[in-house]
Amino acid sequence: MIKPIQVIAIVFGIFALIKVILKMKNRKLSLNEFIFWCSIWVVLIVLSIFPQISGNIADFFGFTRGIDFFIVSSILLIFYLIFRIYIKLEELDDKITKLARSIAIKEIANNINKT
Amino acid sequence: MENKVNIYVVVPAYNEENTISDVITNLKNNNYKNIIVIDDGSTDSTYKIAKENKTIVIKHPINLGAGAAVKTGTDYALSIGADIIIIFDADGQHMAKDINNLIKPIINKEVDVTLGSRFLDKKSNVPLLKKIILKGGVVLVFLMYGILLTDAHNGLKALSRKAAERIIINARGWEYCSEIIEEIKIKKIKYKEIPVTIKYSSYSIKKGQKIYNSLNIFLKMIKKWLIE
Repeated sequence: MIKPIQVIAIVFGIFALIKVILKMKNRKLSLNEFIFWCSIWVVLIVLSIFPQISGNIADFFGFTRGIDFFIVSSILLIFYLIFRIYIKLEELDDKITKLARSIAIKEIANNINKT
Repeated sequence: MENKVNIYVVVPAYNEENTISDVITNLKNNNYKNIIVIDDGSTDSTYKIAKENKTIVIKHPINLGAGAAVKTGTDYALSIGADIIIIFDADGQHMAKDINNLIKPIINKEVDVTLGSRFLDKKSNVPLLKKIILKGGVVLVFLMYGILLTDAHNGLKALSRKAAERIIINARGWEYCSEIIEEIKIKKIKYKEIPVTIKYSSYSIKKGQKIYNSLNIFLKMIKKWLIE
């Protein structure tokens, strides 16, 4: 007997998967990112259709319930993603600083050449 | 000898229209004519006023932070042949007459970096809370880099050309002060602390580093230490 929560998760997973594929079609994603996000949503869909799989994995790792395993691994994944975004942001900040500095120095060089 | 040394004063400024003119006049009156003002994306008329005072003004198109401004200034000063670079705050708390004491040990080739300290003599009237925070900074710098200073977060410093080429500032914000100390330590650059006077006007206190700013610097130092 399929539960409403499973239906919601499956619909959400399919929706997200379509988004990822569309983004890939418009070449907004790199191949690595495409594979990463596809596998996340496919795993969500598969686990929603066959919840007993997550139960088996949970048993293996020592969790009592499948949902516990699901939540813990999701949180870990989220932390990892936040860390990556954080690093990316630092890099961007660095690039902007360099860019702004080179614009400033180019401008002063131009001004000096004019006078 | 002193006439042949190219001394450049780098003044990082962010929204300092009230003081920048006095700071420049003060420097010029003390015979420091090579002034580079870095307007760090100010939204007031800092740029215009600095330009009117006939200094070199480099304008960051956006606000990047004090550390980024200092780096822009030192890079530019090096590119136009500076022998000694002075870093001088734009909020009017430093005295141009102190510069002479800062550059002497560098001209005499005793050291490559001189750091201003407001605690080496009694002339600066440091407010108590400020004193506690600054001394906290001293302890922190000692714990992290093993260099015991009397005043680790003083904006006034002088670098020889050699030191300026070696010290690489990556910090964008105020934590660049600690970064310079770290670089001095890692690259074994000779340094010396020189007594300077800090003028505490109500304006400079308002504009100066706030308590939460110190906390921010502390967190950034920890972060840098963890990641790198």
